[in-house]
Amino acid sequence: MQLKESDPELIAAVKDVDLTLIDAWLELTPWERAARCFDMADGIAELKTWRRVG
Amino acid sequence: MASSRLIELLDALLAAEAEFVVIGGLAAVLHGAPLVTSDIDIVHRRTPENIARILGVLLPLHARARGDRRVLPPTESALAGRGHILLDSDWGAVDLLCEIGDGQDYDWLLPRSELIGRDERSVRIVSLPTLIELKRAANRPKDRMAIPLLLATLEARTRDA
Repeated sequence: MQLKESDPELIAAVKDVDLTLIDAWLELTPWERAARCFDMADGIAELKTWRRVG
Repeated sequence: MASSRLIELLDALLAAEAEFVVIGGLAAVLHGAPLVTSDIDIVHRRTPENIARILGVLLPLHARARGDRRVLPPTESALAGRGHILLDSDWGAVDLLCEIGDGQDYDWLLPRSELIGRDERSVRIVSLPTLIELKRAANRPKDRMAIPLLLATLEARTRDA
């Protein structure tokens, strides 16, 4: 891809990507991925509401 | 703002036969990129009929301008314009983009998109190579961070195909 070939930083960054994560994600259907993605977003949003007590 | 009902919102838009292309984080996830997003980004067709279909879904869900305490609902004229309309709704956050950038509207996206099945219907999403180019052009920090994941996803999909 032209973008990648023109950007050495991106080539290095792509090599750092954990492909097992992508492979596991690709085993799900697109809509299973979407549902999990939104569930994770809700979980992150809830974590942001937590406050340290003590 | 809960995100878990956003797929229902997408289904409601499909049931209303609204014409749009999904872009952004959700398109990346549907393509297989392991990302997290908390909203839906769509580029809609700006015909009066289609705008009416979209508002017919969003207004009953109390869609309103995000971050504005005046609770301003989206308007026909706003959806017919060229801007980005960022909304909250009872079912989650949705961004309606009249154009992504100059001239990059629904008609521009059509040949740069693909259909994926959703029950008996189909959802049009931006192609992965185009999404990568759009992220590159946007060049915000979050876009720069996503590009390696998107490129790796593209490679994995090409390999699997």
